[in-house]
Amino acid sequence: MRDVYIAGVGAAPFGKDPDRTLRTLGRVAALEAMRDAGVDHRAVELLACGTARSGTLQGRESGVGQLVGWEVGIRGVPVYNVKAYCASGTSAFNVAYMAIAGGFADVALVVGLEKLTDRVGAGRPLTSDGVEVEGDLGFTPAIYYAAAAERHMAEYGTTSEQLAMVAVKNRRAGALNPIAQYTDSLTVADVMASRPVVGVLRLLDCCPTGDGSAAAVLMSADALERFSVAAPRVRVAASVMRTGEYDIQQRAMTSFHLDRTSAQIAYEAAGLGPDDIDVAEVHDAFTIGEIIHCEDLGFCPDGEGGRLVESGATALGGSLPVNTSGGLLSRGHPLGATGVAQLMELTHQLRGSAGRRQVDNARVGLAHVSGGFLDGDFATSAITILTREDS
Amino acid sequence: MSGTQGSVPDRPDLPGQSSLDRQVVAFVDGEWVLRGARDPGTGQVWYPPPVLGRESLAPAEEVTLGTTGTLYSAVEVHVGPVGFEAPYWAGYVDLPEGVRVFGRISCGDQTPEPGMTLEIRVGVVRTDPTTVIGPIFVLPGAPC
Repeated sequence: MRDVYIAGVGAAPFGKDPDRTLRTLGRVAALEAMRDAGVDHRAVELLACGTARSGTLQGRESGVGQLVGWEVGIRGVPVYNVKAYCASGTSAFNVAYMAIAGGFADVALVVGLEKLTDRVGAGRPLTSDGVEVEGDLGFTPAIYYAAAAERHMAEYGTTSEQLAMVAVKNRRAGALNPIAQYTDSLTVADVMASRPVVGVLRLLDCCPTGDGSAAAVLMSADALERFSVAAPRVRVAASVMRTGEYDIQQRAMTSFHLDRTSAQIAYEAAGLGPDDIDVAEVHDAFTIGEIIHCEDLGFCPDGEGGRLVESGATALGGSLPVNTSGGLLSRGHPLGATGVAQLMELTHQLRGSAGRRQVDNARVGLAHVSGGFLDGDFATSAITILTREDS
Repeated sequence: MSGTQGSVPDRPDLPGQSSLDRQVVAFVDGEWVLRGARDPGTGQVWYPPPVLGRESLAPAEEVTLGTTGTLYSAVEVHVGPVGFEAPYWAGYVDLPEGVRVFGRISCGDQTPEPGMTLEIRVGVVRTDPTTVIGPIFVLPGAPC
């Protein structure tokens, strides 16, 4: 396998703007990423595009990648359209990663995008694809995470205040991120006073809806030299994407076994461990999600996720800042865009170009996103580890 | 799967359909029951029932699940998906066959607590946009 690098990143600001279409969102992010990498459309040998709901919402079941490519002049190359729930963007990234690692391309463009504000049922929780039975019975991810939060509180003493601290922490970081949708400051009291949604989860414990896009240009080492991409360089040390394991129906809901095994595979591929991570983007669709995922990724012992956020360790300035972008709780969660936006944030952190939210001496970053539910398990888990190379 | 797959009968006082993609309820000996399936290779019971055993890929054996379980986690839903009028309770119940079942919870004025014993009834879960019947968890002896 060859080394793979992120040479450029870009995004369209996340938010609710009815005038933006899929082609607008994709074009803005793709152009910015190519400009950031110092290449134009003629350099792109492969395009991978992640969306989750474009068929349902925009009547474009196929071909969003072709559409975005057409918008920015890309022609005559392989285009892959990837749908994997919330992990659609990261899964598209994984396709491009494998193509370059395998020697099938030297320059690939990844675009993740979603125009989620077109959905019916605005103001109600997003449903989940692929849970036919539970979906008919009223299942939503918010219910799952709320039930998990109840168990986490009962078993480990996690508190509602600690959940709220996740939202406050991420909003404080999001206020420093120009692509975040929500940047106004929050307090624990604000979160606790917001209206209840499901169980202990209140409105501000839940990521908002919205539209957005993010893109990345991936290159081989040869292409980095050919296009004179300046150091520091961001190498993809691991890109792991796996489906659910399903056979652990009786597992505790306070942990996601799939994430644990996926993380282990990623750590082994990178030759690193959780103690090596300097900055992380973790799937915080709900505040309790960040707490559980931090445990599953090995950032703290089981049951300590609530106390981890309360300690300040995961805040900007802490020992392991988590969701320095503001996370889904500040950006919103346009499904296909989320994973690529996480990688964009880590790329800036490792380059040292994250501005006022920069983590000092960040050299290793981890991105985690889980996608969908199926038979009581996540349907997808995607974990990416990036490292900084100074020359 | 044998026998009744795709042929869950309607009951006159429970109109509509079990529109669930994998049929999870069956009308057996005059009452509705919840259905799972056993992998003949491993003996593991699955819910919702797959057509093939997940390990052996041999035809799964139909299993009628028990009607009593233990509440694992419950939440009050204040904002539900389209078709569900809030507030209502929902949660996960563990059955003796080793499966965990998601469904509505109806305990009257009593707050559902983890560890409680609940019985499974089958009733109308929603009517919009179509009528769906499925499991509803109730206190032992309570009517649906």
